[in-house]
Amino acid sequence: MFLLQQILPAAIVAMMVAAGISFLALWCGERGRRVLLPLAVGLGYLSGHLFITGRFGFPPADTTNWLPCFALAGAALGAFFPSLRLPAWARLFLFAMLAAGALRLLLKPKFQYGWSLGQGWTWVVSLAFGIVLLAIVLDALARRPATAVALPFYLLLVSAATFGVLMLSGSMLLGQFATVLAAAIFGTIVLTLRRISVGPAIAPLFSLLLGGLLISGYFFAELPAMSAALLAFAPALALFPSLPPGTFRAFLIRTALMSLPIIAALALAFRASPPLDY
Amino acid sequence: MKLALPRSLASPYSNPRSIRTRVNPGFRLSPQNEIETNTHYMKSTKLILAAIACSLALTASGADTYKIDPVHSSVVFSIKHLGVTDFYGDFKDISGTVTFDTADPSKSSVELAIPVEAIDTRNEKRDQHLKSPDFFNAKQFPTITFKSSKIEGTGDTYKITGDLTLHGVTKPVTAEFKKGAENKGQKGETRSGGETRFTIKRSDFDMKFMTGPLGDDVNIVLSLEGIKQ
Repeated sequence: MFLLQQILPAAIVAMMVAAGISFLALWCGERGRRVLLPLAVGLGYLSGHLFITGRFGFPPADTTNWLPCFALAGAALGAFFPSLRLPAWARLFLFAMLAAGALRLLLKPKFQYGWSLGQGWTWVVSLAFGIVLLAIVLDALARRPATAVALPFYLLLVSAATFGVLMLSGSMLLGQFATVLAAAIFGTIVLTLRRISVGPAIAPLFSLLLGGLLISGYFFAELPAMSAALLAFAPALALFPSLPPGTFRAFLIRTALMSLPIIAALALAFRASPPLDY
Repeated sequence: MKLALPRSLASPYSNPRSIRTRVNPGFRLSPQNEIETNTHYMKSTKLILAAIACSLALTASGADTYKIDPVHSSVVFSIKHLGVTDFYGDFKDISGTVTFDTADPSKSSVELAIPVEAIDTRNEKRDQHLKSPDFFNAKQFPTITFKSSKIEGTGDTYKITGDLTLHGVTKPVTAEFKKGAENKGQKGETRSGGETRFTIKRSDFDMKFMTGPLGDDVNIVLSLEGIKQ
């Protein structure tokens, strides 16, 4: 009961903000929606996160409080990338730079207390590469949706599972942040009222936030690395190429395929979970 | 009649020559040896005088440095659970130094470091949760530190103001420190210390998780024992 009291209000705030902006997007043209949708998720996440943490100093001492900034940066990048008319490699390069910068901020304590500079940057570059790969997968997934609800549903599935593994990692706070992300994604389902699918503009934001949460869980809580990797890998299975596109059957099969690594991630997290029943 | 003690029972300090022989006992003094021993004696006297002068100078400045003894120092905290009652915990392995100037306490200073990993609330599961990002976030903020900025007072009671860094947030705190006695330890080392009790709000240090079921006020008892350096 306490857990619900702790989690629900922030999730509702995030969902309402995202749903409100998504509702506005319903009356916009294609270009307006491209700008508003990532902003809906970004601002939804920001409001939910701030609802949980309250006011904090800037720059934040707790590096997980950079996540709302990552949400806004990812949303801005997703919203304005198409207007920049850059080649694909340049966009990827820009996003990789953003991901590396974000990870450098998120992992600052590891640079301070654990890693040498070389070790630190090796981690940052490798993890940024993983985040870029996830963004590529999400971008491809957004370009071939089975149904309008497919992409938000996949993202919801992954972020809900992230909530589960983070709660099991011994940090309810990180779990709450994942709930807020899931709630913000859920808010965009409003769009499916008019069979509008969340577009690829959401890929930078979601991959940055999901990556940030999983990386925080691994480095600052007790999330097993394999759980985090399986969750990040799960959306790739929804790209299974031999499925007929645009059908409900394809949606179900992709969901089932995605569920496999998600279930494995949850099982691993459960096995490694530090007990909190004291 | 003057009684003469047998040579073996006579005090070695009964005549100056005996003192000299203490410098290099075990052989009879020849005139040459006596000159060397006198020189040695004078050197020793100078050294002793120099040492006395140094210690007098130090006493004049009054600054004694004490290294915190983690075995005999404690940081105990209590916090309200569900509004029912307080539960207690402590931190082991406290370290730091206290420089104490008797003549001018304002020149004194306190520096402490407490590893978060050393938290102990007599329940391993709870300790693990307290170290997680929900509370102390030990992997991000492995150490709690205190550095004094102002010390004032006389006698045995001092008001210490300083910066407490907890959960990555630094805030000024002021506490009344009651100085304890000074005494010798088992190895002859000089020990001194004292105790302070104060209350902080954990929300001031951005530690806001579960405020409600867990109180915001954290009562702290800091009992320090230091070894004079």
